[in-house]
Amino acid sequence: MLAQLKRAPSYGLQLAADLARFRTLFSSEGTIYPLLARLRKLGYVETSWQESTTGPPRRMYTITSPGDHALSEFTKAWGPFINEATRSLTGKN
Amino acid sequence: MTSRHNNPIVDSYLRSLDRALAGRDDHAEILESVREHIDEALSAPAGNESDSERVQRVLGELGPVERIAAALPEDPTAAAPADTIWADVVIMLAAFASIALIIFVPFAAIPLAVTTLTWSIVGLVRVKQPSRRLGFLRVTVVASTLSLLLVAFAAAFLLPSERTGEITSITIVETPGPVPTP
Repeated sequence: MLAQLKRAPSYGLQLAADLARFRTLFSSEGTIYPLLARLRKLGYVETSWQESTTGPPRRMYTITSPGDHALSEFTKAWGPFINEATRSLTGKN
Repeated sequence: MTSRHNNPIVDSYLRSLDRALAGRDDHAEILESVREHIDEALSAPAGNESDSERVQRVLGELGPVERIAAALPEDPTAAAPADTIWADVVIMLAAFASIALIIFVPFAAIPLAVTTLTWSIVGLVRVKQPSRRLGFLRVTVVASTLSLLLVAFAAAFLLPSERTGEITSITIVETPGPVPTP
């Protein structure tokens, strides 16, 4: 979610559509909203309102500086983690 | 909680989600976000779908309300707001105070114990994750219940049941004889 928002600020329906291709991570579109609420509570994303030409005003989600930092830390840890997990599962050194 | 589109199926879905999220502190935010998602999705050009097909598709893509509510449980390590904790502590102390009041003002103990018991039971229903609040609320339930039991015990065994000169029963004795006629 943070990686998606780092690429560009977005709103719920658009985020849901973008993340729908990651079926393992998001089993249905509605499950993104508890996560967005948690990220906002943690201060990793912030919201603002933007007028829409096609419908009601949109609640836009934007990654914050702490959110960007958390994403960087996660990205740094993810590579070694996935490598070690793969080695552990395959038994290769 | 209704959508802008006043669709009964959407309204029913939002009511179910409202119930499924009950007790979470992010309840309103999630519910409002899902409502906005539905409003935005239903505002898009319809294409070849009928209205009911579109509603079914949008709600189907959102998924069952239970799945949304279970997607990310509330953070159990998150502290409850300080004012709620303080309120729980005050109510717990009031429950203990109701026990002490039994000796001095027993009739004031009853409403106090009922109030603290009600507060703590409502709190226990709402707090679904382990937290510091649970401890205070459980102690309050025990203290309030104990207070009410002591009042009941005192009323049953300590209050005098018969007093001199007090009428405790009336016996009607029928005597045979002619019934007077007017």
